[in-house]
Amino acid sequence: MTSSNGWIRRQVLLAGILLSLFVHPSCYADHLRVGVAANFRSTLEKIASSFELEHHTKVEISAASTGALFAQVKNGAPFDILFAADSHRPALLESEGHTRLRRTYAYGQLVFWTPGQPANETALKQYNGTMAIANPRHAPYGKAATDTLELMQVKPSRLVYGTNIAQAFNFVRTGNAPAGLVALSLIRHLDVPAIEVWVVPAESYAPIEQQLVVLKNASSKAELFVAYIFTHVTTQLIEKSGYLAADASHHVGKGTATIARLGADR
Amino acid sequence: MSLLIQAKVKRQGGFELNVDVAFPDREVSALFGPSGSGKSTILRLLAGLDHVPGTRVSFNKVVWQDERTFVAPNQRHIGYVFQHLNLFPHLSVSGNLDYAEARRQSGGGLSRHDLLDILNLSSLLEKRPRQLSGGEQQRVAIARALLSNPDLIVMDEPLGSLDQAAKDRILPYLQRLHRSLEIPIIYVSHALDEILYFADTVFEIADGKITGESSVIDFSVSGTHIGTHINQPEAAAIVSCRVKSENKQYALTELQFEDTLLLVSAGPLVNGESVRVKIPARDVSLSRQRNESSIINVIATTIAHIHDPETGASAVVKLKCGNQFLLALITRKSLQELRFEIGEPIFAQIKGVALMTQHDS
Amino acid sequence: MMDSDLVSLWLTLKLAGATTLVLILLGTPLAWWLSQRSHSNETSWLGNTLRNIVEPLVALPIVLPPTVVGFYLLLAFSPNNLPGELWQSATGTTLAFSFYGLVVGSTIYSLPFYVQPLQVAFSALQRELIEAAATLGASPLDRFFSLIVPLCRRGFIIAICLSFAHTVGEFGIVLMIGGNLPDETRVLSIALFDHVEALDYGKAHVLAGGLLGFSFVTLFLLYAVDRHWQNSTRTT
Repeated sequence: MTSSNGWIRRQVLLAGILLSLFVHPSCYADHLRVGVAANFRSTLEKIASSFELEHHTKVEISAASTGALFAQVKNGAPFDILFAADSHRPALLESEGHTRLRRTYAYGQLVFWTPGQPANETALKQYNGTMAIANPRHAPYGKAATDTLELMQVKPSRLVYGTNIAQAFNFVRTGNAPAGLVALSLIRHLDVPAIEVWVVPAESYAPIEQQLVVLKNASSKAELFVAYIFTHVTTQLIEKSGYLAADASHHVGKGTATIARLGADR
Repeated sequence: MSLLIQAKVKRQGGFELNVDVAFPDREVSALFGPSGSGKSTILRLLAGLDHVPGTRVSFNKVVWQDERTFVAPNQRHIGYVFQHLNLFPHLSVSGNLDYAEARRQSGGGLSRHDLLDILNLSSLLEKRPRQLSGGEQQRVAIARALLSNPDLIVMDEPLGSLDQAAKDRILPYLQRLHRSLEIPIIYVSHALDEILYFADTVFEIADGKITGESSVIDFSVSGTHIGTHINQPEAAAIVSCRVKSENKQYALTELQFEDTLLLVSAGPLVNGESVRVKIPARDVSLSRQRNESSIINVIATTIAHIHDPETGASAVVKLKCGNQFLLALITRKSLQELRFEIGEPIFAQIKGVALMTQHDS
Repeated sequence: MMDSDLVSLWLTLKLAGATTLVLILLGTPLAWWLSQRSHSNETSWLGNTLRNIVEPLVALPIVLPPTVVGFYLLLAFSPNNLPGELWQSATGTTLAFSFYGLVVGSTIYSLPFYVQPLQVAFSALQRELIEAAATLGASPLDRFFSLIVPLCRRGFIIAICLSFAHTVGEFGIVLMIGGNLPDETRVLSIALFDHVEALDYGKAHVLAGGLLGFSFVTLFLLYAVDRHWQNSTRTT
């Protein structure tokens, strides 16, 4: 019992509403889809927002574990750039032909953290309680931790593995483990008193190289973003977040000593 | 007077139980009343299956419940026969009996052998409850309850889920048990024939209150009984007789009833034994003269009371014979035409072979 | 299977066994209490209200992500908080990263899988049977073992099998509070996760296939036994 005019108008309105739901702001302009390992996510978000302001290109960020991102990309997930927490899996992706660029973007820094106690080299060497580290079998921070423990001949009574560095960090934070070898970036996140933290000298362990890859079919804007990563402003931001910035000229992060000593501040 | 209960219970729906009752020792006390009158409630309170504060129960001077005490059901030594769903389904008949025997109270009581004998269960021992008929199940349930050597037996409509034939088969067993035991039995039923058959004392209950207490003999000829059961085939008078002698030639037994004799079919009766006899009102007719008739039992009585309901076809006449009473169910038309009067001598004709004999202890 | 995976297998079975045992001891009375809703007395109002609260609490672990339970457990176990502190002063070690901590976590997480089937079985019991047993002189404990357990055999078997199998598959909680200690907390599901994260798919297949096979066989047997019982014991 509606007039045919009114009915048609309603249908058009409905279609319009439905269509607009599918309209995505990023459909309008070029935008970048970026996957990032969880521990670098907050840093990347800051980088991305200033990039967006400068270059008017939206950056869409998905965070997950490196392993998950790796699996997704292998199965065709439409990322443009992947920021991994290690170098092993980016190398794998490159060898399987998924990438057109691979570069180290930061070096993780390992610290010794004992909440409520002063932390220093002696304290670490003498520590014999429960210690939390990331799983050395598949987490780079974990491997770095075992390297350090071996080098300094530390003998904790119990070595507890977190499935990733964030979980190891959480074990210490909740008080279940009195000490841990964790990431500086996570320490920076929380307002931890400086006296509880001791930065492990970088030469004690193989570098925790965090690499990015630009995927084969990525948007042309991808290289623009990569270049932005290595600008002075960004490298400062990365270092403030608890990493060591990488030099743009190093494609494959092998050289350890020189890089490690760069900008290692406290 | 050893089992006492005082209870006030309120239930949803407005039902209220309010009783203060003493049950006699060594007898079968019947709780008789319609469904929903509170009979089962009383039993459950007696057994401690329902715990309602404010109830007082004691047995043989032992307090089972009052404001400060509550004795758990498993410590009261009561043999409880439920109406149905009695037997443990995961055990055989033998297993069910074992269960009771393992928890038996020590000190006398019927043995397993006795019970198997009295209740005729030997052939059922290996069967599972689901393989038994209703009557068989109840016999097993009764045996099991007795095997725990209780001090008191409580039966909640035990024949309620049985058909008439099964009932008729079980009632004699109950009588045999009653004779073999010296403990009180509380028997709940709304079926008149069971009460008349089995009870010694009748407690009438309605709407949660005890409305009468009398011996079964008095009950059978009481006004309330007559008034409510006038047309039921079970309406009967219960009288007490003594076995006098046997007449082998005609296969009859002579019973001494007050000053006269009653003749019944010969049965396993012992001379001098005191028996209870049920005489259905329907089987009694009245006559002003002693006629030549095939009816074998003709007794001189006096009309004690006439109950004419003013409607329907039947009326009941209550007859006095010595110290006991009989009932006769006659048509109102005959009542009108024959113009019986109270105090008038009259002959009661009882059809001989219609008498049912029961054994008194 | 590698040696360490065999150790993980043994840990898994130990954890499932210990958890099931704890559940039998704690969950049985709980399931019984929940099943005894009283309808007659006024005084049962409090009991029923409590049941109304406890029942959904027991069911929570079915719908909660294990990470939620693990998160709160990690906080509770911490020596900075009361439960962890009590444990530490009593035993000298933390609940986290210990087998006992896993048992606590698994018990909570498998609780509804034990309690619910058992509660259903208890509710289906005919009250008169238990009352008959009481009148025959059986005390409450006696009635429980001589009558209720045999009559609820099926419920018990289902409850035990389900909670055991569920604990074998336990992952999220162990991940949050286990710490991956090879001799204490690295159960099969964690070992499997490790293999996958390290891209060692060969070993992962062995473990995953094994777990899947075990779960299937358990359930298959459970259903088969149940069918057999339904057919042979048509209870009255």
